[in-house]
Amino acid sequence: MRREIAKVTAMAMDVFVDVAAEAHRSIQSGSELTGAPGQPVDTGNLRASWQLSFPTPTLASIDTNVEYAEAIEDGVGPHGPLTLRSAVGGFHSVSMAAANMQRVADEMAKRRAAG
Amino acid sequence: MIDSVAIQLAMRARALTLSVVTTGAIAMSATATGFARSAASFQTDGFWPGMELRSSGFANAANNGVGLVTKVTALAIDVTMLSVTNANGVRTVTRSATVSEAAGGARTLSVGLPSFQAWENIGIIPEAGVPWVEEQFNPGPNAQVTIGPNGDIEALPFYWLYVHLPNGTGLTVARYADALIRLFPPRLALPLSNGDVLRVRSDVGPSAKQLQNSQPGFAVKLVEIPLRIRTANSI
Repeated sequence: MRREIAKVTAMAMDVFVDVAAEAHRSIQSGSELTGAPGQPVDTGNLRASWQLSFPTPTLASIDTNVEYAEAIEDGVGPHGPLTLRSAVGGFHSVSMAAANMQRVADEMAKRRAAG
Repeated sequence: MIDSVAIQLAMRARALTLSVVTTGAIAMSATATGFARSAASFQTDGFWPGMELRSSGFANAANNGVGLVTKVTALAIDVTMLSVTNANGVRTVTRSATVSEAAGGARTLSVGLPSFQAWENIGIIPEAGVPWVEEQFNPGPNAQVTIGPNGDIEALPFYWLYVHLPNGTGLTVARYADALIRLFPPRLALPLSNGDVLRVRSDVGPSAKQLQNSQPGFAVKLVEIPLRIRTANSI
C-alpha cells in the first residue's frame, strides 16, 4: 500500500512539473492545448524573458521582468492599441494559458498514465 | 462544426444590446445646453460625464441622436450632440448644441455601446473626446471531449472588448466595463444560426482588467469574456 502511495505521489509530482512546463510553453511560444498564441517576436527579448521556476516543491512560478510584457499581454501600449507586426505570437497568452489550465492538466495526466 | 465567424458575430450582436444606463421613457425638456427633467434624478439613474448617450422622442430632430455628456446634476444633463458623415472615405464629426424644446413625455436618454466601433480588421480613427470600443477574438483550442468518431468537439474561444473613454472622466469607463460583465454572465447561452449553443464559461468567468492609459486623450478598460462551445464532430 505504501509503495502504491509513493508511486501515485511521484506520478502526481511528474504531472505537476509537466503542467508547469506546458504553461510556460503556452505563454512563451504558444500552445495548441490552451490556444495561447505565445509572445510576439522582434528581438526575442520578451519571449526569452519568461522564466519557469519552482520556489517550493509544490509551487511553480512563471515570470518576466520585461516592463512592456503587460502591454503585450493586454495589447495596449502608451500610445494606444498595439498592432501586431510579428509573424508569430500575439496578445493575451497569459490569460488564455491561465483559463485553460484544466485542459493542460487533463492532457498531461493522460500522457503520464499512458507512459 | 465549429463556426468561429458565427461565434464572433453572436458576441458582437450581444454587445450591441449593452445598456449602461437609461432614463426609460420619461417627461423631459431640451435646453440650449442639454436636457432637463422635473422629477427623479439623472445622477441617481447613473449618468456621468464622459458617457456617450442616445436621445430619442424629441420633436426637434436636432435633439435626437448621439451626444457626449459633459455635466450631470440631478435635474439637468449637459450634452454636446454629435453627427457623423462619411463622404468619399472622409469622416466628418460635427458637434452641435441642443435646441430648446418644451417638456414632453415618452422621451429617453440611454447609454449603450459607444457608436465608434473598431470591429476586428475594421479600424477606426478615434475622435478626440468621443468614447470608442475595440474588439478582439481568439477562436481558442479545439479538442474532442467525448468518445467515438462523432464525439463532441469542444472549443474554448475568447472575446475581448476594449472600452476607451476620454481622459479625466474618472471611473466612468469602469461603469461601461461592469455593464458589459453583467451583459455576459457566466452560463449565458447564445444560440448560433447553425444550432450550436455558445456559452459564457463559469469556471473562469468574465472579468475586467485594470484601468490603463490608452493613446493620448484616452483611458481604456479591457473586458475579457471566456467562452465554451460544443458541437458534434463531422466526419
